[in-house]
Amino acid sequence: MKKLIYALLFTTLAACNNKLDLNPIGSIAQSNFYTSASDANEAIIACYHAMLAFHTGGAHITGMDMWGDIQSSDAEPHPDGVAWNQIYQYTLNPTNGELGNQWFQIYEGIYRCNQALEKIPPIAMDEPLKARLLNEALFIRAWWLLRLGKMYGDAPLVTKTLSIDELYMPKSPREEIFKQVEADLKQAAALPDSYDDANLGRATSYAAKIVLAEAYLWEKRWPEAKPLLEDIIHSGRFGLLDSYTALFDGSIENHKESIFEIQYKANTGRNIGNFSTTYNAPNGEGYVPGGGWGWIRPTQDLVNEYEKSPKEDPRLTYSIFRKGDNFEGQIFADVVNGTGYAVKKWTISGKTGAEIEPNNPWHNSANFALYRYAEVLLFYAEVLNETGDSEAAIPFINQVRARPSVDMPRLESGLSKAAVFEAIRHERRVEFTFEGKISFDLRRWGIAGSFLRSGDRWHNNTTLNPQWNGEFFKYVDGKHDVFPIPQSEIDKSGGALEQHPGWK
Amino acid sequence: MYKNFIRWERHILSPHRPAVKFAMRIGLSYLLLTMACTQLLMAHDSGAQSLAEIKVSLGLKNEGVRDLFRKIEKQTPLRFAFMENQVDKDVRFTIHKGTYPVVEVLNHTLASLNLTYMNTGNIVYIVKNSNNLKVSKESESHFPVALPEQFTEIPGVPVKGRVTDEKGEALPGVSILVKGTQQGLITDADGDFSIEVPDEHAVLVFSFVGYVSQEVTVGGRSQLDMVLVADQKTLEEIVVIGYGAVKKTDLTGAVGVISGKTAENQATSNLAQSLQGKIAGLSVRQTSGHPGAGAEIRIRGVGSFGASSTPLVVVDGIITNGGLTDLDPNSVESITVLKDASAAAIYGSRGANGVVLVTTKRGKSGKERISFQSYYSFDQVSRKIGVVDAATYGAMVNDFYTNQGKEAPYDNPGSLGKGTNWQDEIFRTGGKQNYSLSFSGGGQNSQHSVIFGHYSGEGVVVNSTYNRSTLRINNDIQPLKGLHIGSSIGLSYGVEKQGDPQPAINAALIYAPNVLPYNEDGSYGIADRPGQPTTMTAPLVYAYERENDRYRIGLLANTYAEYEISKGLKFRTSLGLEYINTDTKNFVPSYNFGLGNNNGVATLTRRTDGLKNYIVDNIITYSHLFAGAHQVDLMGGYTFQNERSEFVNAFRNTFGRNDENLQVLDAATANDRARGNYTEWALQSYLGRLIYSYDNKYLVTSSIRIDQSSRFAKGNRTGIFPSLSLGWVISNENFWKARENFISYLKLRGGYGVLGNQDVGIYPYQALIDNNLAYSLGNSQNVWVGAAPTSLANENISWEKTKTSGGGVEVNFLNDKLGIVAEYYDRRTYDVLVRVPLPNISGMATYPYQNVGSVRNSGVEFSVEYRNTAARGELGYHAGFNISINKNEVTKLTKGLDIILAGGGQGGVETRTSEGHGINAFYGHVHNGIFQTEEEVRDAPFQPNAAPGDIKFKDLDGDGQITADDRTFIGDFNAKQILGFNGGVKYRNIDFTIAVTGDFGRHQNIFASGFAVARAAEATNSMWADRWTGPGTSNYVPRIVGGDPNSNSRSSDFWVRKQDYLRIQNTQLGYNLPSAILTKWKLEQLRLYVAAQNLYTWTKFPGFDPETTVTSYPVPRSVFFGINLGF
Repeated sequence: MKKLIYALLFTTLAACNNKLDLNPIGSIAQSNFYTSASDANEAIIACYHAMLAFHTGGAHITGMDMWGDIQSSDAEPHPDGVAWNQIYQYTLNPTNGELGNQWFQIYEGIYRCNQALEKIPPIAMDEPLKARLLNEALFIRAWWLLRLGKMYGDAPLVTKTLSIDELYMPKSPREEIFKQVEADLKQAAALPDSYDDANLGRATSYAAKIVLAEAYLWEKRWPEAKPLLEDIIHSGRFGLLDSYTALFDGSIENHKESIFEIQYKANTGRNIGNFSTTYNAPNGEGYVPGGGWGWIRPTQDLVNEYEKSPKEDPRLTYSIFRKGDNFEGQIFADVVNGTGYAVKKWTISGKTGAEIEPNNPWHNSANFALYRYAEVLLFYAEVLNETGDSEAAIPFINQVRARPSVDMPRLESGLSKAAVFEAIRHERRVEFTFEGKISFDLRRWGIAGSFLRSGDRWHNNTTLNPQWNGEFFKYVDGKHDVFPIPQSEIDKSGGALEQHPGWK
Repeated sequence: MYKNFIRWERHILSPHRPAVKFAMRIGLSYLLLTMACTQLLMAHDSGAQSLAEIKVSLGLKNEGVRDLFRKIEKQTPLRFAFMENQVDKDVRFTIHKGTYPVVEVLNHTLASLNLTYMNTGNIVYIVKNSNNLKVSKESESHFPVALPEQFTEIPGVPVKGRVTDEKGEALPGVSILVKGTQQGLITDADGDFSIEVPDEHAVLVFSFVGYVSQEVTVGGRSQLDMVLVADQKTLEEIVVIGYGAVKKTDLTGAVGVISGKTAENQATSNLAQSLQGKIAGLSVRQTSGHPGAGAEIRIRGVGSFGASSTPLVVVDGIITNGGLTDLDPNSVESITVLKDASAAAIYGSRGANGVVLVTTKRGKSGKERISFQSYYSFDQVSRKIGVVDAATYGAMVNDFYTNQGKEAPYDNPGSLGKGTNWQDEIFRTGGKQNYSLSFSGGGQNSQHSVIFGHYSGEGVVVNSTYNRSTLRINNDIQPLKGLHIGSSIGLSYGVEKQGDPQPAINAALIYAPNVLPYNEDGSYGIADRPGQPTTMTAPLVYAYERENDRYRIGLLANTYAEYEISKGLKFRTSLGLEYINTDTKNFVPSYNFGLGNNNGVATLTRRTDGLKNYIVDNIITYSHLFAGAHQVDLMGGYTFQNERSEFVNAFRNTFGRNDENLQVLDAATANDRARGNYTEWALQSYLGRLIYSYDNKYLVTSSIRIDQSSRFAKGNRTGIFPSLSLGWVISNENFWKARENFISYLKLRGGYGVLGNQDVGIYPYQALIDNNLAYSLGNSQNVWVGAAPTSLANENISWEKTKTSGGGVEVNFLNDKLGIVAEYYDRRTYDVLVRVPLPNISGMATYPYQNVGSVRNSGVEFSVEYRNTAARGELGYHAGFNISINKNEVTKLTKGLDIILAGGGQGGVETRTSEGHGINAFYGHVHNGIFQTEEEVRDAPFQPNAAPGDIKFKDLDGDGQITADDRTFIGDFNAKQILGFNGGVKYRNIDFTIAVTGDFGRHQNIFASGFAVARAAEATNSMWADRWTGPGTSNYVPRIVGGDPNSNSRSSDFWVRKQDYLRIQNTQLGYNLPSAILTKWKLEQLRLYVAAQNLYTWTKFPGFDPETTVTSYPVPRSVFFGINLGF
């Protein structure tokens, strides 16, 4: 028996509990993070990182900007993109995969900001810096919330990090979401007006102001938008670049026209480059290594929008390839099933100075301007026109048309309110082509249905498919003004989320 | 005894029913056993009418003896049974009309045929008259039978004797055959026999089930007494269980065993394949045909829908990561599969999915044995996926565009002709070679076994090879009395060299058939025309231009010392170490073959993965037989396991050239990127087990394991896993033994146990910060580090627990020739750990594990095996069949919310885990035909944007429109029935085996390359040739239309297909050289064989293989030629 006891003792001798306390290696546990100013800054950088998704950037090639172009008559998706084609033609249903991607990107962006807003305040650090970082987070959150409201209308309004049990949340009305946007941006307006060179690219007070102005425009609160835009115009910090193409080819960044740019960088191995060249360059032709994907293709309808006389709007050539166009020695031949047109705006070869990656996935370092001064001018023109001062609006439209490299004939004075509105609509369409704005403009103005179904649309005229009887776009007023809540989200919500009435 | 099937015929002719004639096959042994009993019983059989009392009215005119039996059966309750080859059909009788006692009819007719009879109750057995009983002249005189003329008696040497067992007890029913003749008989109730043999050189073969057969030359003896020795092999089999071994008869849990012989004789490249179809309840799927691929093993269904469902693999006591992949099938002594909780509970938190225990061969004292085994195989894709020709493709692409309102790219698609079938370009005849050389033997105090193996495989996809060399050295020494020490060392080195085979296969299934594989100048043909996949890499570029090499070193070493402290009390300590190093090299050269096939600069990625796993076991065992009947085996112990895995990844690009010798990081000039990390976990456990048996009749096994894992938060770290199982060997009861029994072994058993599952990642409870969320700022574009959690954390998770109850019955018949095992189990998994997809408003891409619900797997398993020999032992045969029927059901989800994997879960079709359904069931709309006309679209429930040619979906809720509410469950993901059949025949030196496996009830989605019209030019599957092109053309396959306005691609049963199959998995025909030649050549064994694997499959599944996803690397059909040599 003694032997047995000895043996048992020996058997368990090796037992040792602290061998089981193994902490993660190579990753920081949340409980050990958010303790220093540098942690606080990293939390904010993560917020900016999420924004890369907007312009086919980084690991996410969801193309949030292009979402704004293809749900209009401006651009059609590549025939291969089933989900995109359904979005384009308004035949999508709530199970559309891209819809779910957008939803996730938005809430991921919001989450990063909420996390920063909750975790930074307790950190002992320089208080003014802390306040600035928090305002940056508020700015980014508001921008995502505005996107959420624009796209989905009513949606869950998430203003804090959620535990598992809190995820089963109902929708809030769009007004509530916009109210939050307003509150966040009013605070974020305290951001600095500018940064030193190292920090250039962070959100400024002007960035906060233009986003808030856009939110007011959506709510038709013209008088409130007006002073914000005037602040930007009168600051003296901004102006139009002479060259239209320089805005997009990566040759100059964070310049006088940019109010807020998403900052891309190639060759880092961290997936923070701009993928849009591969995404947009003509399919089947060698503008980039391996050929572009031509994921969106300009339509005849968009080409028709550009003025042709007395001179052709140069922005047509700057933005769009037409058959036979020469781009740095290569002739656009529309080899693969195109519309005869291809996107030139984002085709960056690197020859103008922008850094590119020689390999998959062909990232480049060109920034993408979410808001530039031209938009401030056109927003302001719109505010003036809507508040009964159409005459005063015209010079601001003309400023955009007068860009030296564009130099289109100026609008004459004495136009009616409707004519000025039409001028703004036209100017925005040609100035911001492929910048993800047009279809949201059409909805904001409440004319999306009538515009798309109009016989003026090239698609409807050509009646390519006899089945469609000249009704290519299936836009249904009241239904398509917002996108449906992704079906998977409704399914996962356990009944908390309800589909929009028009989409049930 | 005759050891083959002999045809017995019975005629059953009932007066109340039409005559039914049937033939039945029964083993002669069955009859003889019954007869042996009959002879004992006849004396007591007073209830039945004696044959002398039963009378029949007969009249035969030149009729056969069968007619006679039939007539007797018609009038009496008697039934006849006879051996066909003993009752001569040609002999004719004539019996005058009259009424006679049956006994007289039989006496007279049978005697003339040298037959006699025995009866029990109403069954009359007709057997050969070995005692040469003469019918008396007296009865002959007044019985009117005309004797057949053919009858002659064989003259010979008379021999008689008695057969007994080792204890001297008489053995009735022993078969005695004169070797080389058909002549034979059986011993009577006293074990006596008497026979006439042709001459004194005659050899008598004595055989009896459960005893070792013997041959004796008569040699002039007239009295020949034999002692037969019991064959201990069958019942005394020792089975390896966790942390010990036990007699097979003492097992109380559900355990399946396969001997190494089975694996060895299969000519498979992978050990897991040898298990396929062999054990009820074990599902083995080869999910890839890659020459280095393993297999997916599941025991008794899928128990979890979150944590891993892979069983634990233990090799010589070490819980491994490498599993079965590093093992040479020739090095395996036995494999034990612990199926239920009572058997696996000793592995506690590791055993929830069952345990596969592998024991490698060890040396035995005695002569040095050397053996060499080798095979060579030819491998081919057994089934290519049907694809359309170029002309059809052109028409389809035109449909795609014109249906969307665009211009058709091809003016005259018919002129495109046949085009390229890309599968012909990337598949080839591959092959496998295997060589294995082993030495084993040893002296009194030291034994060894050394096995070298080399395997080399050429995949069926061009440019894919795998080579593996293995070395195993097992040593055991006994330096002092009571002390055993030893070691096992297994080393393996595998080299995989290939292009990008899986992407090549996927591309081959969608690449346009109107592209030529090569241009005239020999360069690759590239898609560059409208309606072709111009952004896609060509199949041949994937196959030939990419380079993915993998070098894997596996070491599995174990050393032990065991000391017997006092009689029955042993202490064993062992240390196991597993080390796996995988080195990968991915090189993409710079090339420019055209669109989508352009790589600007060459890139090189090198990655090294290392895994170290060590286990310390300290086990004490005590074994004692108390009072001659109470056998007690106690085991207690402590084990600790720690595993650390790490990787280093380095990337560089911009090589000056593609030179093979320059494919090192130092030769590149730009873009250094390095990554690396490691993870570590640990588990410590306390074990205890009691095995108690009383008189080999009543069996109890109880075990407990207490596990503490580093994977859970401190408070939730400990799990306790107990089990209890009971067995009752009825056939060892005195009342059973008291009478001769048809059933030779009968055991009932049942058990209950709790198991856990911790396989949910290393740090699942901790919220980790991802610091790779960078952003550049400033005009110099400096990269700033960004950090945030990217997965939600859940600190409250704990063990997933599985409670299994079940029972079984094991019955052996015919002295264990026929064995049947039937089992029932109910396996319930609680607190299932799963990453529940959460509403994405969380903003988190990775969902945390939660303990969310319960799953029940219940089922029955049935296996039957029959093994026998005949023709004096020269013919052997066996047949086994097993079937498992499993029901997988989610019984509870804590929040009541379905777990939804949209699209990506199983491809394009959504799967759901929902209460009342199987895990991951497919979910979607129901296909209800194709809209043929505009009217049909109008009249049908409203389906937005549908047009003629689109799929009409069922309006399940009847609200007049097709909405999300019209979705339902459309197919199970898990198999419901798995069956296996194994059979074999051996005649003299030739043997043949066959193994058939089948799976039923599993579904798979076909939303895959070539099938799904996700992109314009990528649907090449031949099903699209039958697409809708106008009213009446198809009511199943929809039209092809760009943009898919109706969402024909939505989750629906159109994309979900049955994976039922039945497959001839393995067949082998072998020849063993006769011993005379072997002796001459000084060999122990020389075996030549030809074998086939995956010979033929019956299935309707449209993919390469019903065991895999649609486009997985196909499992080839292999034809092997092999040799086994023993010295």
